[in-house]
Amino acid sequence: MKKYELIFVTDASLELEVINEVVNKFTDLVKNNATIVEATNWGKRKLAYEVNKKWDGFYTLIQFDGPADFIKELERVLRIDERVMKFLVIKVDEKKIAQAEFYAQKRREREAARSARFAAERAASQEAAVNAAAATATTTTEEVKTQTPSEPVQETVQD
Amino acid sequence: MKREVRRPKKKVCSFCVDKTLIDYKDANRLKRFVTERGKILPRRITGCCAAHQRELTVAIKRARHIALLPYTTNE
Ligand SMILES: [Zn+2]
Repeated sequence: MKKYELIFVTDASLELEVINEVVNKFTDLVKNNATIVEATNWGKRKLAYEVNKKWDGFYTLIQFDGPADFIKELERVLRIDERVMKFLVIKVDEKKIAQAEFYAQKRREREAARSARFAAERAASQEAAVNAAAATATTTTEEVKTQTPSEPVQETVQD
Repeated sequence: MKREVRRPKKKVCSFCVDKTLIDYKDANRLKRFVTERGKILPRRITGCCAAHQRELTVAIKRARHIALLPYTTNE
């Protein structure tokens, strides 16, 4: 069992019902001969070039685990279906995907660490600001206390 | 006498740097590696290392095959 990827493009000028029929036909064919990992319809898309005088295709991607001898049969059936404009079956390079995923994970971890550090720094500076404010608050009350005895005197002078 | 030498900026392979997968399904990303007419850009312009340029070429050819990218556009 190897990992494969099938992309096929159904003629999007067909009725939606017919498109669904084609998509289901090949999804079932894969399902009956292999294990589907993921099936995704990209939907209708403009083609990069004209195919049989048509510009629109309905893209379907099916990722699956399957035996090598099924691929030939799958390709044969795809080739003879005139409603399929284009198709591609490739063997997935699992090693490369694993490697890319490994680095993507590392990058995510690095980014998480960075934002955590940022948050910590912000919290620390906020705490420092609060402490500073508290410190000035206590000094002012002390100043007020020390000043209180003299204050009435000043007030009387002012009066 | 001072001789002026045009030295192109040293390029680093962008795929070596960010270590992402070269995906034939990602037509938008691949578009940056072809000319306006759809031709694959040479390595001296893309700045890719040999291994990644080869991988890129395969991906672009696959994308062309399923009409995600044009073979050539003559306008
Ligand atoms: Zn490289």
